[in-house]
Amino acid sequence: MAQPEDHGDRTTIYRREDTLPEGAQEEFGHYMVVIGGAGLGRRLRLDSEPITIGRDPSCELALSSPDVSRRHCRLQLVAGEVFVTDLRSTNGTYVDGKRIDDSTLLPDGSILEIGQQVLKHERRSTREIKEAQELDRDLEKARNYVLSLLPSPIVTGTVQAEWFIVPSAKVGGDAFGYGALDNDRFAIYLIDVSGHGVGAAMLSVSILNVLRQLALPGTDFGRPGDVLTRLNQMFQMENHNGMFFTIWYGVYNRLEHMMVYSSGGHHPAFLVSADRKQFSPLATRGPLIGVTDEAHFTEAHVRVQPGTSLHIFSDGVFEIGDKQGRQLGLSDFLPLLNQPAVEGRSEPQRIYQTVRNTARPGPLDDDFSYLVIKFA
Amino acid sequence: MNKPLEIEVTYTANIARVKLRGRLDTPGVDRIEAKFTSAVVPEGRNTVVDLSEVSFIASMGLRMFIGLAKALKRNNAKLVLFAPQSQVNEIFTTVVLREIMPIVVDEAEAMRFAAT
Repeated sequence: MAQPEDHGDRTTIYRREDTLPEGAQEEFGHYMVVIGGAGLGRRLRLDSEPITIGRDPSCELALSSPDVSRRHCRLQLVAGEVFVTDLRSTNGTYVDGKRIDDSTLLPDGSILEIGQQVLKHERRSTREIKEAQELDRDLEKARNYVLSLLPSPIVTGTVQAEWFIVPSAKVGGDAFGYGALDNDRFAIYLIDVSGHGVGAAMLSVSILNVLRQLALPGTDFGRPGDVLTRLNQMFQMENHNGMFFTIWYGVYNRLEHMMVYSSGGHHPAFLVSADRKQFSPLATRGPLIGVTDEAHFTEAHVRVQPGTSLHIFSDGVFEIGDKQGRQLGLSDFLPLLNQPAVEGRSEPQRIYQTVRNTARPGPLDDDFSYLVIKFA
Repeated sequence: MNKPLEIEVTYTANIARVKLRGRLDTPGVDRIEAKFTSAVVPEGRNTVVDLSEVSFIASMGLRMFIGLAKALKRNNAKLVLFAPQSQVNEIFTTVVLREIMPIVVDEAEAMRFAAT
């Protein structure tokens, strides 16, 4: 019998072995998983005893958030179903977005919101829980790896840098970097891969490593237009599982106090004056990276006055839904650039806190990445 | 809670008219992408998409349109978007999506683009 032609492709199917003996019943339990707010990923099992959630330390789930009442709500398992009762809290208890005023069924998969704290009800077998915990550990390692590739803040010298990043999932598709190209020139960039999660993170790591190691043959990394053109050739979406990305890339010349920059599908970065009264958008008209192989990326120049700062961020910073259910955009965000510094917080942390306070409870819709470069 | 993204497909001659309602975010795209693709790509239909009731588009929504435009182009067909709301249009402008596919103001213009 003729063997099929070998094209080098292989598909391997792994069969998961069932560890339970035949006829054995899996044990199921009800769990509340923290998906937003403090203690992200924490899993609390519901047993026959009720669980009270509140700010009071005596509560089974004690939350220190000021928008949580001392004894906020109670969870109870009744005949195999989970019910939540609001304990006349000030800010209310919400199930799937609706405020409750009585004992309410909390179905499997429903979302419980208490102030900024968001929990999901999951009915799971002990084996599923074990698998989920293993996956969480792997994702944590992936997240730590991505974070390890980001540069350290720079706190002294003529060019200083600070940043803040919060992925919307366990790992995200945002990444950024900066560093000296030579004695005079300093490169700064931020990338945002389409989607979230492990797939997006893997592509962002690939791009980041290319930029960190200046690994684009024949490319002058001091020329943003050249860098974006080469990245576009290298990362065509057909070769990268249909993913594309946006990028903002700039090079600051310390001697000339000039910045040259280019962007691919990215909203503007902003140059903010020392007194914070003015800011200028910095963007060129370039397409998404990886979408079309004939793309051309132009450059623009700007003079950088001493004391100004450059704000570069991902769209997850401003594309948020607020507490009133409105979808916010870049123009809603920009007034934050004029607001004064907050003592004890870095500028990216100040912005994050304001965005967090504006957004509806729960994780932000997209990765939050914010980079500030200060020019002395 | 936002209502889930809805899709409605109707056919006129060789043109598919797709109406979307809601948010084109990751859950929304997951919900409708297979139906959208199977409705227009296999037969290579010219397709116009009414975005007048789409309030938000995330990167996965852009990815869906770009993937569809490329797939249709391979079948010698076009994808034309029309009537985006201002916030969605702002995102199209930022990512220079008009270099990939036509985006026009109304249905009549979209039909003309699709037919030529």
